[in-house]
Amino acid sequence: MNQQDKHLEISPSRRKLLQATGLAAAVGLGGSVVPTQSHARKLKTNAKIVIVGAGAAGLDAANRLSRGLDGAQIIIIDSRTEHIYQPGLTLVATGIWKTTKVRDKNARYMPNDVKWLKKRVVAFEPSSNSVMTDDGQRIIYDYLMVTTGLQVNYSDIEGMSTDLIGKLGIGCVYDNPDHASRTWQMIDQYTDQGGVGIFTRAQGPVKCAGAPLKVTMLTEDLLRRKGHRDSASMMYTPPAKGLFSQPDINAFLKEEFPSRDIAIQWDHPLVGIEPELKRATFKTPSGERRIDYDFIHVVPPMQAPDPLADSDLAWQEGPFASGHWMEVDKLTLQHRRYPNVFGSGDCVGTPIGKTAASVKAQVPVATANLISAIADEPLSARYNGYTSCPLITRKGQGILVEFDYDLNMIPSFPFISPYEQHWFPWMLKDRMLHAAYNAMLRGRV
Amino acid sequence: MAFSVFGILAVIIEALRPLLSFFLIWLVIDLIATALTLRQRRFAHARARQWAIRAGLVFAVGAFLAGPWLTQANFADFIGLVDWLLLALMALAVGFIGFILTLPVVSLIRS
Ligand SMILES: Cc1cc2nc3c(=O)[nH]c(=O)nc-3n(C[C@H](O)[C@H](O)[C@H](O)COP(=O)(O)OP(=O)(O)OC[C@H]3O[C@@H](n4cnc5c(N)ncnc54)[C@H](O)[C@@H]3O)c2cc1C
Repeated sequence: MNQQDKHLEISPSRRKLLQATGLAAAVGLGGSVVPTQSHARKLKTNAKIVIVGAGAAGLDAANRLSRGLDGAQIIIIDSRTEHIYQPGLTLVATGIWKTTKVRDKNARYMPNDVKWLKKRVVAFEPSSNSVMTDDGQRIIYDYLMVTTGLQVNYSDIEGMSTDLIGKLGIGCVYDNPDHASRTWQMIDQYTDQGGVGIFTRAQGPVKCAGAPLKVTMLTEDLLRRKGHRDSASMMYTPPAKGLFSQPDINAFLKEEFPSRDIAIQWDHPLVGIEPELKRATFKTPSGERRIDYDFIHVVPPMQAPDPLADSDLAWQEGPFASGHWMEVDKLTLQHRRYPNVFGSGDCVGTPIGKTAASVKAQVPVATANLISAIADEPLSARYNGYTSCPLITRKGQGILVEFDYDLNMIPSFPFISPYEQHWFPWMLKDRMLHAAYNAMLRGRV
Repeated sequence: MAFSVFGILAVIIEALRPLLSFFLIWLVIDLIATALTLRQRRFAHARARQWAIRAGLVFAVGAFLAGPWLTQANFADFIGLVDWLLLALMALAVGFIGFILTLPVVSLIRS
């Protein structure tokens, strides 16, 4: 008996009702990631759906499920009331935006008919269809949507703590406005004084893999604008032999960095810092290497949040097991062992993703498939791996990079080359993407 | 990424949200002006059209010149025809909206 059967056996009356009622509201995406939910009929159901995490993916999912279902009991669990527009943090950390621009409130996007429990989930217990909150409450669900985002492991770097951000030449754009603005203080100082600047990148998946690159290039640009480029020596330290997963952009960056006198130190994962000495330690294939710096941008390793990582929802083996990412089918975003569980956003273990742009493509698929599951219909929505990054190369210019699981470029605007720097992607980043993100939170794009 | 009309509208509304109350007030004034001028059969008369076109042009030129500055960039950041064409298109759109929004009010002007 699979988990879905088990789950349905628990509530046979509910099963009958689910089968008897209405049509799925958001099926028929047929390989596409485009939602059709807003125009379709609502599915009548009394299913109890729990969403864990009210970030980008959670709010989007809550709005879509609220609009797609009639009579469902939808509960969202997250103690955080502030909403942070994380894609804006790179601009805050490089002095282009003020922090006020990225601070928002979850309440503005919360649908009225969704019950918001301001708590944290401390344990996922999928075999009993329940989650446990930090006040000891067990919440039973029929369907679960996991949207917890990820956890930044600062302590994986010896000597590093969040208190150090904004002190002694240490910056880290991950992952809140306070860290970003303290990073800006350090970058502002570095671009005034010059010296050795080290820009790191953690091993394994990180959210917005473009962010460390953008911080590097915007800092270099600022040094030029301030007329201090000659007094600064910059290096980028990827943990392996690549700069970006998409091969064309990887090739572009391999030329762009040296042309801007940013040295690339391959195979240099950061493992420790000595803040007082301003010294960083890297674990290279030929042993540990220590480098003195005046400024360092620390990008710590990331993983699924502990409660998820410690649960049976995490991948138990394979390439995503080390980050404890949630085990989902990469196309349907349904859990591979618990069919009444779906996931989207940074927490899921899929080959690429971890951007708000991926969230925009994943959530319509995950919610449409969840609704199909309620209706006992085949899951027909598919996520093609879409992810995007307006790779800002300097203030005023960028490249709009969009690709899929096959790492093929899939530009939304065919007239904009995904291989060349333009003002238009910068304009999108500075003016339009925040609006698109907010529309996504309301489940409208 | 595929786009839907609803999606595009939703993004535009979000982009304009800080200015939404201003646009709403303007819209109410426009509606009143339209009702008044339609009753007096002088909605969009020749002189009003001329004024609205001039206003639209001012909006368009203003948007073209201010576009890069509004994005904390400058014309030196423009690369290739695409950037210039896109800015021109955006300026045209702003100009058209300016024309539409001013037409009812300037229709109150006697021909
Ligand atoms: C510096 C930076 C730059 C970025 N730049 C871009 C960009 O240019 N383009 C782009 O597309 N994306 C970018 N991103 C990535 C994007 O912001 C994320 O991919 C997106 O926010 C992921 O959404 P999410 O809902 O999965 O996670 P989040 O938005 O992080 O939300 C997760 C939510 O879950 C909650 N939560 C966690 N654990 C629990 C628990 N146990 N119980 C209850 N609630 C819990 C948290 O409180 C949080 O509210 C960037 C991110 C950063 C940090």
